[in-house]
Amino acid sequence: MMRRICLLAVILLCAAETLAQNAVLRGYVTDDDDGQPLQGVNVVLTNDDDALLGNASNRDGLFAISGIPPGLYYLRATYIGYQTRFDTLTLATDEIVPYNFALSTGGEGVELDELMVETERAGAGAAGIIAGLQSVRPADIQLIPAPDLSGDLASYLVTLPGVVASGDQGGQLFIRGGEPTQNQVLMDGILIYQPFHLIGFYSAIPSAILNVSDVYAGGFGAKYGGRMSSVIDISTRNGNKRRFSGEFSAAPFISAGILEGPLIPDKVSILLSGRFDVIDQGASRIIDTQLPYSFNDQFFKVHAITSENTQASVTGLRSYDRGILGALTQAEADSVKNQVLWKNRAIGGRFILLPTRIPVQAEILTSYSSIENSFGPELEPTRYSKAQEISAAANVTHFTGFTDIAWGMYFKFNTLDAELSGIFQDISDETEFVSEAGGYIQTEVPVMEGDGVNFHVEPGLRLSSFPSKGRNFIEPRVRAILSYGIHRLSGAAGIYHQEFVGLADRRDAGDVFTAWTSSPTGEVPRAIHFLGGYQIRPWNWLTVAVEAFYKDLDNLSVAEWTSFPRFTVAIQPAEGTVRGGDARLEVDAGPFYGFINYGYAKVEYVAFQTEIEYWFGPGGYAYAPPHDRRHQVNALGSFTFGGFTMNGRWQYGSGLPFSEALGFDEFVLMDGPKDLFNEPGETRVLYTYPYGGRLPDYHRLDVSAEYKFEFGENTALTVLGSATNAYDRINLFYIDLFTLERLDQLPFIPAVGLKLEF
Amino acid sequence: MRSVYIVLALLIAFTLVSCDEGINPILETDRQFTLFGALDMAQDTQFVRVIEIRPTLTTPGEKLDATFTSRQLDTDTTITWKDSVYTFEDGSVGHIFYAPTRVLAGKTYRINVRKPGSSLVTSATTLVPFHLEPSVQLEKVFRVLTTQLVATQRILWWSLEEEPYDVAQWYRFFIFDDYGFNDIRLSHKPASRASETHAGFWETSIDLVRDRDSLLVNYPEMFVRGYLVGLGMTMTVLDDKFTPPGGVFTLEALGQPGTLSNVSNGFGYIGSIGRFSAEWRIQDTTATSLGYKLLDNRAYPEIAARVWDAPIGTLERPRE
Repeated sequence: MMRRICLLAVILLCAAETLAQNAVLRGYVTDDDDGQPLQGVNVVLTNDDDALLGNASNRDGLFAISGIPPGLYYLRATYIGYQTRFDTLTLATDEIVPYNFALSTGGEGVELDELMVETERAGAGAAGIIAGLQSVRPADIQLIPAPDLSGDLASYLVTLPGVVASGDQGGQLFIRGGEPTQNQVLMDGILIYQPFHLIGFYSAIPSAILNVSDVYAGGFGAKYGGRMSSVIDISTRNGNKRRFSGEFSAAPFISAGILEGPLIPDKVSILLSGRFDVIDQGASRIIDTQLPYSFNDQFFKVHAITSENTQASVTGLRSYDRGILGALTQAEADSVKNQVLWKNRAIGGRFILLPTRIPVQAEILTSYSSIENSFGPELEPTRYSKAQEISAAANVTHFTGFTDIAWGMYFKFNTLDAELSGIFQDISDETEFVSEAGGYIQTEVPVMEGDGVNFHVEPGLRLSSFPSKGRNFIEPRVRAILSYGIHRLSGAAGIYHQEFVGLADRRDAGDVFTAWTSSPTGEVPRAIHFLGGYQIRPWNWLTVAVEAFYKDLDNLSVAEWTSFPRFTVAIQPAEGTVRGGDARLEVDAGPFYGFINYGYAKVEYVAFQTEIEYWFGPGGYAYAPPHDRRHQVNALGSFTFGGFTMNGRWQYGSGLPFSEALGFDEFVLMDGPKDLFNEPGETRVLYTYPYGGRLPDYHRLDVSAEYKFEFGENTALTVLGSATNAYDRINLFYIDLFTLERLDQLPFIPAVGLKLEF
Repeated sequence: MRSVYIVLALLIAFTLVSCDEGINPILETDRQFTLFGALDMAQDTQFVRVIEIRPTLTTPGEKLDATFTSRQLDTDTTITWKDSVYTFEDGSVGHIFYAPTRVLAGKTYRINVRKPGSSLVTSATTLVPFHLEPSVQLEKVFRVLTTQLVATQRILWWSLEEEPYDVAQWYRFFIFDDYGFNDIRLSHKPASRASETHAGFWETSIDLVRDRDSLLVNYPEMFVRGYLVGLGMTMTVLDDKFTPPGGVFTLEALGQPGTLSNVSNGFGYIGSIGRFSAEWRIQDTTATSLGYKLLDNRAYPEIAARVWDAPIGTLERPRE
């Protein structure tokens, strides 16, 4: 397979050379203030013959306009909130012209009537979903009321319809029916195994370091692979290349600090971030309740513009989480035997090259990622799992003038360790080494352009090979967008496989230990996605979108069903379906911004444990897994007036499935004549049908108000007042079936936060 | 400003709905008890474990308000059982009800457990396996290539059409020094004994030579001091409902409530166990060719009177 991929790469490079007959204009667009790349800048060329050519910059700020006939052109570069750039260029045949420029803030943000470059970047905003893709900007995240000022992607993600959190504790996100370990989170191309902290407000990646995050709830393109549910592709911003700056914030849950600045002005920058929990000193005291959690994260990025055509960066992330979920008593909260712990490590390098002779962008990525997960005392855990990945990848984008063709190759080496004390009955304690190689190709074909109609189809194909396991996968993918005036139709479909799976006992919300392993049943989990949506923007201030989706899941591994009250993830094969739809309404009218969205999803698994036919009849048993939240509503409103910003968010989720019981007894295995005096029996839960009950609905209102005091040009102090769970709704997080004691989610938490920027 | 009022109104409305929604994951049920036990033909006292279904995961207490009766449906004879509070080795406490009574083959018994004053009855009915009649064939003895002795004997169990739960086999010796009988049990695994199920009977075979070799190795004194006086076989048969799904008794499979259960208004299983024996002698020529010593009844009439007078194997079916 590798030979075929290399051959394909050579053919594509040769093709690129032959395509470079006309001129190519390309370059990076940056913010004049701090040197940050600007994404979504429309760069348009016109001439006296009314020819019109254009493109939009990508997340690196790179734009490329190919196939330009030689001649005199007028360049116009526009970006909302920035001054428009005008220029006149003379382009010659077969010329590749590097054209880097910076835009200054303060402009009116001219919108081009004659050409709006259609890209998936239009998927920004709450209703800006396009074929499962929604882009999240730091400004979006800042609108979400939170108990601190640092903002976090996790707070925003749970406002998306179809995203279900295990609660405000646990750090588990289920996206459109997928398990948390079926979500792929990439940060600058580096895999982050467990991107969320134990307290659900926070991810390991603060919003202050974000450039943009693309959240694919399904139907993602051929560039992505290895996970079967969703992709969260996070791009971090670069450090300020003009001056040193930073910010520090303090709030009841975390204190955070960011420092950035030029190591070599306009050339090399560094960005440092660190966050540490202050729960014991803050939140626990405010609510007078033990919150046995501790977490922190640290991040760094060094970015260098090494030449006019090359850039390089090194990014690193470390996160640490420790806590006891479901602790109902002080003794349980203090007991390390129920402690769950995970540590993320990730570091990677990225090199971007624009060859001078051919109109392509080449990207080379190398990375190392690891997750350590343990349960029990930190030094002597009762269960331990570690997954590591070393990855090398090359991505190439050809700017042909007619369309962009992207392709890439990758090689990964995975190590999986498990020490599970025999509890995972189907997995032996061992170290597993698995190598993986593959490639992809995808292109964006403009099927129809003009007369107000814009129809792009993005077919793709991904090849994955696991030489050490003798497995190969071919995964076709397709995405399509049809725009007509204020209407936009979009759709996507694809096949997805996931060789490495995370196993957890989902029967117990208080147990988030995850064991990473190579597909344990011998069959590789597979998903097929179909989704389609419609979006309309009747006025500039209103966007309405609906989207329907269907996922077919096969070769899943779920915990075996047992009536005995003990932890087990002896696994059984299962299959499933996820179907649902979202409806979103977004208003952006002057000082008011708001959205309301509704999501419906139905997740159904059918499990095939050997004993099932004895219990429930032949054909497996169908059930709604514990993350099957059928109905969700999220509403957000934000007012800005004077220096004040007021935000409010209300969220509602219908009850999650759980297993009801009739009581408890002791079970004596009657396998013939028994001496009953030697058989104390094993305590048993008299369950009814698995996951046949529903927990109470969940709803909560969070509000915040902040005011920014500015001192001079670069110094500001922001004061935040917030109320989490403002009407003190008692939302159930966890009920101990054995004691009937319940652990509720966080109560009303008033908070004050400060952030100093300089 | 109107928007602010709307927000305030919503806040007040939400405050009104901020009450707790209680949840009880334990559903109300009419099921009161879990019963485990088996009525055993071999026992003169019967035992059944009674476990009260509890709404919380507490350990069973020493007090259990329950009346326990059994009734033989054929005769309508009712017996009231007594409770015994037993502390197991692990320290837990259980209630084992007992009654000094024997159960009979082919009879149906109904167990009723109820709380005083309650109209709800947790009950189970079990049919003790029907009587089995053995038929022991004359042994087949021959030599292969004039040296290798082959000696087998077939036993047929009439009315048994399924594999028995257990088969026990023994050889009985008389020893003068001890002035008594010694029953030496040998394992009898039907699967390795050319056993077969037929319409109307179940058949197994005894390898007399292999048994002899086993006895020589493990009990050589029986060939020095002992005299073979007979052979025997006991069948343990479970009632016809006492069959695990899938044919295998496992904790995980049977632990699911309702699996292998015949208890109404409760959980668990009350089974019954039939025990049937056959005793016989092999022919003297066969015994001596196998190396056993035989007792001369004429020389020792007093002892002979004590020796079990078992029939020699016969091809005849004992009773139609």
